[in-house]
Amino acid sequence: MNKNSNTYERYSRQIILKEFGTIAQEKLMDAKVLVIGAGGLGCAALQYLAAAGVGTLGIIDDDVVALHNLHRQILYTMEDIGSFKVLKAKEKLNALNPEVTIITYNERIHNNNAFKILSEYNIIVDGTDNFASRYLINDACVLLNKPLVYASVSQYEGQVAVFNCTGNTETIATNYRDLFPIVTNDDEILNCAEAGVLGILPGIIGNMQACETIKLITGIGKPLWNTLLTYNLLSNEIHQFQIQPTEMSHSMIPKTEDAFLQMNYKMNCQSELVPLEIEISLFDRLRESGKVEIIDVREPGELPLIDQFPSIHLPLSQINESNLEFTGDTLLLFCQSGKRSKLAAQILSRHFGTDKTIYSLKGGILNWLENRNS
Amino acid sequence: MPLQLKLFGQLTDLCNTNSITMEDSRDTDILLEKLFHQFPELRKTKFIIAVDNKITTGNTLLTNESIVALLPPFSGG
Repeated sequence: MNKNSNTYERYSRQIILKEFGTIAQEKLMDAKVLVIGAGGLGCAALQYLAAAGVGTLGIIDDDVVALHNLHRQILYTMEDIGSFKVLKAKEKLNALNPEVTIITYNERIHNNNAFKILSEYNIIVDGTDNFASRYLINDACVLLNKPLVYASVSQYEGQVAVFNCTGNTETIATNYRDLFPIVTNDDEILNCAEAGVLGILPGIIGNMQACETIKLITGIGKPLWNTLLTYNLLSNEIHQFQIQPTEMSHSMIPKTEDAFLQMNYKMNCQSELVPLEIEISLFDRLRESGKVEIIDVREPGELPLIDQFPSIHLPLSQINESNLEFTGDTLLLFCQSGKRSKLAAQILSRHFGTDKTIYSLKGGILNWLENRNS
Repeated sequence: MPLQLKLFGQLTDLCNTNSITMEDSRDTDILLEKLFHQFPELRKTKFIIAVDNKITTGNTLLTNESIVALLPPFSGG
């Protein structure tokens, strides 16, 4: 690295650190890190990974920015509401550090895309918000032998750990199933939407994830190998717990890619994935993106017929396991008033779990038509 | 000597405290039964147990100096 270059200047304050130097900086610039979830944890981790000069950052998320995200997802602003998170995150990170290559995946992580995407990266950062995705990511990382930087938050408390690597050949690496071998039903533990989270907490914990990732890449310090760190924001208490490999974990992880593809993570965790009701503006924006399937759940004969945009007709009364074949990752549901489409969204969310994102049009198609005519 | 129990996450809401002092117990199974008797809601909740900062699997012997932690899984991101 040329000492007179802008690149050297950008990273000079960390390059001059005694144990860091240009060698560690070049390791960062050669590294490829995938951040799964561009929410509270992801926003924090992504900013410091980009600022530190990680060469390639992948971001996977299929969600759009909402007002209730802004207290903790600090990559986004009011102007970004309704936009896809990965696209806005890429814009902000490019502005922060144009030397970093940002690759976005505007989709949800699931069995069919996990291997293809994860295999492109050196380290995986889990910033997801449900148990089904966490077990899926863990198993894919074990099978692909990828280091996994795990974190999760609830209310005032966070957890961080580094899985699937130990830094030496003598110690057996542990994984998420060694920590939580009994799969948790998503209905059993309140998530951020239900239990709440102080906005700064995922910022702190996401930064810890970025820090562990940087330590893994550069070789400085001692990462949280086989260790769970807990942080309590109210008391400032930090604890570390040693994780040990278990037989149960070994037996529960699929042994091959084919076995992984057959795993039903959503059934195992029964993700509650509360169906989101969306306003007309977001409904129209998603509809116009062309990346969604629109489903009319009204009964046959109900008026008015909708010819303003293409839709599939699947009456609520006829929804059953045998007719739930949709090609899109995102489904937009509507009915007359929004009540039946909300119920249908709950049924479809139960069925698809993390595989699809499902929205119900708030106020229904009558409200949409009224809004359009006014 | 009483045994110190630390609670994490939403377990603190269920028990209304983040630290409980329990009478001495020979192992974690006995400790849990006493705890469930005192806080029946805990029986319905998932958590893992750490003894002296090590995550345990199965029933684990305790000494009168053991520090036991109950840690629920979180899913938030």
